[in-house]
Amino acid sequence: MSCQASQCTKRILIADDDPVMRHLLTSIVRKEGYDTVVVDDGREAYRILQSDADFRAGIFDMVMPHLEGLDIIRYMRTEKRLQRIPVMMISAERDLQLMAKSFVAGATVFLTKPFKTEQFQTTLRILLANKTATRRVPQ
Amino acid sequence: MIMLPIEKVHLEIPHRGAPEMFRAAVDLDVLRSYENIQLDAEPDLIVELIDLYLEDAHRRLAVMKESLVKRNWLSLKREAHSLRGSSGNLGALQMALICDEMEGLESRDPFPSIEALLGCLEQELEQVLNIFLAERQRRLQ
Repeated sequence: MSCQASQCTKRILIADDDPVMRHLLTSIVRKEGYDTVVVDDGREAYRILQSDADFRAGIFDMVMPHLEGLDIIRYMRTEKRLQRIPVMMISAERDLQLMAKSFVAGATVFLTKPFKTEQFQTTLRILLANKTATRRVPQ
Repeated sequence: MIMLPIEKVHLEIPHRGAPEMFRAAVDLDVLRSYENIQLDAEPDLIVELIDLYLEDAHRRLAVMKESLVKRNWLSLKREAHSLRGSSGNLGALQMALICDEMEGLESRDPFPSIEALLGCLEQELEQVLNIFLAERQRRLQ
């Protein structure tokens, strides 16, 4: 059975500057059976994405040094080879406006910290089931 | 695009006015819930998370103290924001609560109040340290 590259790969890009959250996210994603590529700031995520589009999904913290999660999503949505990659935005912010900004930028799902493992797993499954990362909201 | 419901998750912070004895520094159930994602043949995840958290929290506290001396509110709030996220996810509820208050600080707030809040954070971290180290020891036995 054939599949699109984005649907076949098991690699997920994780970017978070917090070592605790990075390790936690990595552990849950690996437990779900995926491989991880992990970076500790937005600039490094950007650098990787410039030459590597082989990701099933991206999981980004909103607030990171150098380049924020929003900036990475905006970049991804301007690059055709990256547009198909769905993105989960994670933030400790509970501000609705920031959440809205994430969706406008092109985030697929949004999760607020703190979260339970089951919440993250459910969100991840929704993210990975999403066939078109840039699907529009029905009018 | 999928919008997930916003809900208060397990950060059920006791009321600030609650008596001291009822305020738990750490909800160990939150920490122990990560046993479910422990991978086979890998080091104990919870021990690793404790180690990472304690190292990171002490580093951030040091940066916050320096930021206070330099009156760098942006840096102070940024560190508080990061620490709130990891504290909440590891069940260090009071730490998360104090960080939340620090994030709401304004540069016009009285300096002694900000200093006092940072002092509270440092005391709370000591409590968290003791509980986490006891849990760490228990898990390694």
